[in-house]
Amino acid sequence: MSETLAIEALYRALHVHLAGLCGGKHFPFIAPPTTPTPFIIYGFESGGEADRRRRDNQTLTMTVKCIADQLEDSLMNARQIRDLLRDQGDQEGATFPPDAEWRFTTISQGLLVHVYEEWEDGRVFYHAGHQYTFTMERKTDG
Amino acid sequence: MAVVNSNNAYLNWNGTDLSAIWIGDVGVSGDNSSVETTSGAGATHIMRNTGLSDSSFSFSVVVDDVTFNSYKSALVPGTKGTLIYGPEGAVTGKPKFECSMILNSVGGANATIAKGVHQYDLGFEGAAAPTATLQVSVF
Repeated sequence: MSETLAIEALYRALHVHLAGLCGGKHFPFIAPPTTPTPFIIYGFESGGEADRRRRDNQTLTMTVKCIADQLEDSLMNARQIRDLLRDQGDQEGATFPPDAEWRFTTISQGLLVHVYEEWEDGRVFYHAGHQYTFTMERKTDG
Repeated sequence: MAVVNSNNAYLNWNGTDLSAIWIGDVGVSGDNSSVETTSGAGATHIMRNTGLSDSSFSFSVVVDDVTFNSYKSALVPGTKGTLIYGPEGAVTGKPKFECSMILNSVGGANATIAKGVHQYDLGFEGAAAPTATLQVSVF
């Protein structure tokens, strides 16, 4: 079996780690159309091979945000996301789920993500969260 | 012809293979200090001849929390040993540098608030004439 991609391991770990927020409503990139708010969206922003050493090592930046119809709900969930992710790599708080092939050594909170969205039917949505940078390293030399 | 990949170097210091954990640029140089040999009455220009040659080497290694115990004893300043370097790996036919050297400077481990790596910066002086040089020797 081929080796797991870093981005696969990251999506898998986020799926596990965010399960306790927003009633388990968390999705990569986009939520199903009928999903009631609040819910969490996470998706790739930038990054890839870091080339900091010979072993496969990656730096991946993901946006993780809550979408809610109340500003305070979106901010409260953004705070809970932060508590679960910021500085929780295995060289830090070490609460982020481990992976069989990859280590998450550090997780750094970056830019604030904050968006207001108004639909044609009058509904409004508030997005709140951050970009998080995951420093990852394959556990064995490849 | 392809440009040579610089991420596949072979580095062995005093019997410890550091190839998997070296980081940063490798610096290797051979120097020769010329000697003034000006002679004759009314000389208008300096004359020189070749002097003694010297070798120096430097590179950095990262602190790997899993394998650090396997190589930390190689990072003690004052150690005299054999340094072997292959910029294209240790494959037969590829360039090779080998020299008895003294590890005379060790800097680090340095830390930054920006979550950088911890690394040791190593400096070496030649203890004898190289037994293999990149210009003429191969593995």
